[in-house]
Amino acid sequence: MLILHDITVRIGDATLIQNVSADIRPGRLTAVVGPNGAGKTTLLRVASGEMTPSSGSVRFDDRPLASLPTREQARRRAVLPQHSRLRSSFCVLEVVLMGRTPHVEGAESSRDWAVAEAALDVVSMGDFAERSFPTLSGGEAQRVHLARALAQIWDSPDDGNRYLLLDEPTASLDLAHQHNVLHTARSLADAGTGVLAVLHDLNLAAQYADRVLLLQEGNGVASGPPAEVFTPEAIYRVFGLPVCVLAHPTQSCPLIVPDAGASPEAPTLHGDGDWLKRSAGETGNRRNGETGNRRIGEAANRRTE
Amino acid sequence: MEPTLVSDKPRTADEAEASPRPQYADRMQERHRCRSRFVLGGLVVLLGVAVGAGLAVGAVGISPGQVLAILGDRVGVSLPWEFERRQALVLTSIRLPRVLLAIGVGGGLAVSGALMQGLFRNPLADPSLIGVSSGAALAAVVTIVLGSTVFGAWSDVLGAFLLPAAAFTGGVVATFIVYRLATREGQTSVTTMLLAGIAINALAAAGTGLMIFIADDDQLRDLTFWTLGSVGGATWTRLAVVGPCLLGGMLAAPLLARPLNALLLGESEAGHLGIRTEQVKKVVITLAALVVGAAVAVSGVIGFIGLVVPHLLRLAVGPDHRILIPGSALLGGGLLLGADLLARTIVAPAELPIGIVTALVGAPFFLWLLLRDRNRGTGYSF
Repeated sequence: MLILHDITVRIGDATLIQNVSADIRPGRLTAVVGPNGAGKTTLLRVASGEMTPSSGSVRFDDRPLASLPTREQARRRAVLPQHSRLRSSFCVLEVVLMGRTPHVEGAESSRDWAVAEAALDVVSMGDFAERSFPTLSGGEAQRVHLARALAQIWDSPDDGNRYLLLDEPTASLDLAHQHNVLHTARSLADAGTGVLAVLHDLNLAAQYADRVLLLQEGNGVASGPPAEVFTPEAIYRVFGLPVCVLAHPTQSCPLIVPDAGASPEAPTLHGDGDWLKRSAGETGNRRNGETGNRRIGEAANRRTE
Repeated sequence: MEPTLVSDKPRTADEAEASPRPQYADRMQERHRCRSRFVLGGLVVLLGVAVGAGLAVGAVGISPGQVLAILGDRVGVSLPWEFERRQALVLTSIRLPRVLLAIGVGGGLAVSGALMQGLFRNPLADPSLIGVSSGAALAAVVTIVLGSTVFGAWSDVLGAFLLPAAAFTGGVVATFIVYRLATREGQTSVTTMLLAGIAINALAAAGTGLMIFIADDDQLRDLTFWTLGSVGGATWTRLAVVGPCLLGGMLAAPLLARPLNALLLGESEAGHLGIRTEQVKKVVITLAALVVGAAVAVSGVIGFIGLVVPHLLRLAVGPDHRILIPGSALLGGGLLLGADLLARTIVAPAELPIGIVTALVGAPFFLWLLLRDRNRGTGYSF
C-alpha cells in the first residue's frame, strides 16, 4: 500500500496542500478531484517521490518512501504525467520500450520488446509501432505514454504490489479514448494494481473510481466512495457550481449534471448514450470549469465585501 | 464497460498473457541491433581509413605498407616492406602521437557535445556552453601574457607544462562556477546553468579580449593557437598526460546513454523511470569538464566538432544516445583527424589552424544536411 499521511507541502510562502491523507491500495482505483489549483497534481507528485513533503510521511509498502532507491520504486510504480515534451524522433515502440528502463541491465531483452508491444496493444496503438513519435497527435502521444507506463509495471520483480499514478490521463483524448484509458486503469486495478488518477471529469471519477478524494484549496474536503462524496452540496461548496446528482441510468454510480443557469429543473433524459456523451464530453467539461471559476470569483467578491 | 462507446476494444493488461507473444517486436529489435552494428562498424572503418591517411600522408611520404612495417618493427614483427630510419622517426615521434591526439581530442569533444545536448535537451548546446572552453582559453591567455612577468626566467622551463595545466584548471574552475550558480538545495536547474554558462562565457571572453589588447606581437602569435586550435603540439609526453582524461571520458560516456535517453522525456519523467537525475547531471558536467578541459589544454579551442558531430549522427541514425555517444567518439575522432590532415597538407609547409578547417568544411556540409531535411518536409527533430 502507498500511504500518504498528513501531507503538507509548502513552497516559499505558498501552501500547496495541507494535512492531506490518502491511501493508494492495491486493487483499488482512487480518483483525486477538485478545482484548478486545489493541489491534485502536488499530491500526485508527493506520491511519485518527485516532491518531498514539508511535513507528513509517505510509506511505500510499509517502508518510508525515501528509504527506497529510486530505481526500486520505479520498478513498481509508474507515472503518467500531464504533458510530455518528447520531441525526439524515436519510433513509437522505442518510446514504450523506455518504460522498461528500471528493469533493464545492459541491453533490453526480447521479452522487454515483447512487453512493449503488448502494452502498445492495450492502448490500441499497435498499428503505430514504427511511426516516428513526433508525428503523432496529442491524444495518440498521450496513449503511447500510457503504454510506456504500462510497460514499466507490466510485471514486478518480486511479485510485489504495483502502482500507477495518472495525472489527468484523459486531458487530450476524445470521448471514446477517455473511457478506454479509464477502462484500462480499471482493469489494472481489478488485477491488483493500486491506481491513483487525477481527474477533472467528475462523471469519469464517479463511473470508474472505487474511492474519491475531493480537494479544495489544498485541503482534503471529502473522501470515500463516489456516491458518498458526490453530493450536490459538496460539489457546490467546492466548485461553486449548482449540480443535480442523478442515478446513472444504466450503471450503479451517480451521474452529475451541471445545473448552471440554463434551466432550473433537472434536464430530461434523451437516451443512454446521448446522455453519457453530454456529461462526459469536452463541451460539458469546459462549461463546468468556466462557470465554476466565475462562481468562485463571485463568492470571493462577496466574502471581501 | 461501454462497448457501444469503445469502438476498438483493447486487450487489457490482465487479458494479455504475462509473457506476451510478440508479432513485430522481434523484427524491430533485430533491425535495431543490425542498425547499430552497421553504423558503428561503418564508423570504425571510416576512422581506420582516416588513421591510415593521417599516418601515411605528409612532407615525408610513407606508404601504407611501410607504416605497417615500422609499427611491426616496433613490436618485434618483421614485415616485408623496406623503410628508412628517417621515415620510422617521423612516424613514431611525430605522426603517431599527432594522429592519436587528434582522435582523442576530436572524439572527446564530440562525445562531450552529445552529452551536453542530451543534458540540456537543446540542439545549440556544445561543450563550450558550461564555460569550460572559454575558462580554459582565458587561463591559457593570461598565462601567456602575464606568465613571464610572474614567473620570470622560470616561465620558459615551466611553459610546456604550466600552460596546459593552467588551461585545464581554468576550464574546470569555470565549469564549477557555472554549476554552483545553477544549483540550489541540491537541485540543479538546467536552464539556469545554460544562462549562467552564457554569462561566464561572456566574462571569460572579455578577459581574453583584455589580454589580447595588452599582449605584444610575439604573445599574439601564441594566442592564435589557443583561439583557433591545433593538434600540432602532440608529443608522447603530452599524450600520456591528457590521454587518460580523454580516453576515460570517452569510455565512461556510453554508461550515460540510457539516462540521457530517459531525460529526453523530461526531467521528472526520467525520475519516474528510476533515473537519479541530479546525479546524472553531476556526472555529465564532470565528464565534460574533464574531457574538454584536457582537450583544450593540449590543442586550444577547436570549435564546431562538439556542436556538429552529434547532429550529423542524429540526422543519420536518430536520437538514441546508445548509438549517438559511441558514434560521436568515432566520427569526432575521424573528422578531426581528417581536418588535421587537410590543415597540414593544403598550405604545406605552413599549417592552417585546424579550427578554420573544421568550420570551413563542416559548416557547408551541415547546412546541406539541414536543407535536405527541410526540402523533404521532415524537418530536423532533436
